[in-house]
Amino acid sequence: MNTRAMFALQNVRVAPTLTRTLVHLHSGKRVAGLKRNPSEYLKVGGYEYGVQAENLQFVKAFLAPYALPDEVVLQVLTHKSFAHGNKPYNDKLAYIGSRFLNNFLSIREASTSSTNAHAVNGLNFDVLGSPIDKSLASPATRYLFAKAHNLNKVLFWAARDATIDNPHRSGEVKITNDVVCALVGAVLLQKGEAVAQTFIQEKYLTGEHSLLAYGSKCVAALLKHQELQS
Amino acid sequence: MSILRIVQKGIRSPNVLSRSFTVSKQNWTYAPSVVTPKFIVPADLTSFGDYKRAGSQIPVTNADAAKAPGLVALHARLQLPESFELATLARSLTFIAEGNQYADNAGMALFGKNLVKYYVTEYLMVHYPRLPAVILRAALNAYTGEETLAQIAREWGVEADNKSEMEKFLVDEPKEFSLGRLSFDKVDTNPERGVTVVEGGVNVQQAAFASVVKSVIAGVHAHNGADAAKQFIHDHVISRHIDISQMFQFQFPTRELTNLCSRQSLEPPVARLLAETGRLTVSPVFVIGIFSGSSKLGEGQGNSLLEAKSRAAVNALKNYYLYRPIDPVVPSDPKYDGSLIDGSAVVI
Repeated sequence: MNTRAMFALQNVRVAPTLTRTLVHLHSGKRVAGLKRNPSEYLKVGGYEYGVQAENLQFVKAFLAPYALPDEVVLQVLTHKSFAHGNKPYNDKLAYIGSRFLNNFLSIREASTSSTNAHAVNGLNFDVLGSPIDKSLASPATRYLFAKAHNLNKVLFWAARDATIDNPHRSGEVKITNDVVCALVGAVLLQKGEAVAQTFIQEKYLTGEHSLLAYGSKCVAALLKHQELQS
Repeated sequence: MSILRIVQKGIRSPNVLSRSFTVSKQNWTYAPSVVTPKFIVPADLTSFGDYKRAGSQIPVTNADAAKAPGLVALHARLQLPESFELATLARSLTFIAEGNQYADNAGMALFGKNLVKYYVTEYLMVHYPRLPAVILRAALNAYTGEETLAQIAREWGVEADNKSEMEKFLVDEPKEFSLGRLSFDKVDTNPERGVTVVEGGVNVQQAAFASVVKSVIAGVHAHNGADAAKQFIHDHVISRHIDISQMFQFQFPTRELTNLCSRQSLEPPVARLLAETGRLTVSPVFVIGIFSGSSKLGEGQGNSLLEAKSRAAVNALKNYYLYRPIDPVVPSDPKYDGSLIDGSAVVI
């Protein structure tokens, strides 16, 4: 080792590290500078944040038999706005879930047997962009669907304005839409594409309270409104 | 609805003050919006097969399409399989416009858009499982945004049908030749003199070129199946090099790193000076490492202690967010066996 390198090593200073060993968690009225007790703010509408059975019961009942780990279910129900984003949240799950759901729906719509002369090798691309196609992808329809299945009973999020009751204006519709998509994303990332396809077909598109049922209700209402307007 | 702003020559505006500018033809392709398709809705709203587009467009036949040299050349250039019909390729080159003679590609483009966005998203999510959502969206846009797809279409050699009917008549061009060129409504072809669009609106030309790529993907799915479409997307879209590490921009790197360590239950990060030279000169260099306990998270160098610390924090954050697993498998692969579900980026 040359002299210069030795000199450099001798001059290396290690910064002293200070570690806080005692933390006071303040409860009650907020005081600037004091750390709040997490149990005070980690709850929404009486539900305390965590993997407790009461938080996950509605989603688990909906998911059966497509079980997901409790932590993943909790992440599905948590929005970025909750606890300043310090808990795992669902935005990326919702993102991939939304892409997969939209893709699945467009394939299913176009693959339905058709007599349309413009169908390409049996695929009726003309259904895409139609009112029903838009309705199935709309947050309003997915909100109705989620409400019917109690998926929005327990959501961990912070409304921008707690005084707004209208779900469309308060942001609840968008948050619920994210949960609906995040569920698909979680199943997709946990179990793969084939299971996710069966999951959507079985849970989202079948039954009286399916996405299809609410989608067509929304379109029927829209068409009626347009008829009245004209 | 997007707002179309126009600025007239001579009006005092901070952007155009005492500036003389030429109206280029490129700017004329902006329109307030693209034509919206109209549908014939069946009585049973969920009877998807019965949906039709309103209008009297006719489908292109394969016999007519085969007479278009541009179409045959494009088919060969893209190495599309024989089963991919020329008529489908002709439809891919017909962008939605008022008074189209042939069926347009609006539905195909929507279908292809959903396919390409899904496959690119799953690729990014699995190859970079800790990517923040903002970067994920930016990367997806870099791969599948209209500008990129329009560029891909141009690289494929797709040509716009810029000839007027009169020009075609004068050179006695067969009408089938037009099928091999991209047809779209060239809006505002004769704008008022001295008026140009400076922002807003839809770039119809770009949207038309992008729709070709999306429609061809839809066509591959229709004629050759989902696996072929996925392979096509990998070959033409995902194979493009995009440097995701350059997309990051941290405003408060040290604060973000502290929050990240707290969320991941790691010891708080500590910056330590590893080496320095020329402290009392005009060009000192400091090397700082960021540690969480005994683990070094990142290292950075700079001309000041603050700069080096900041760079070290950025380096540590990038090391975390740009983590790539070994041999990742995407969910659409039959061999897929689950992947990391990330808790998303910390919020500052």
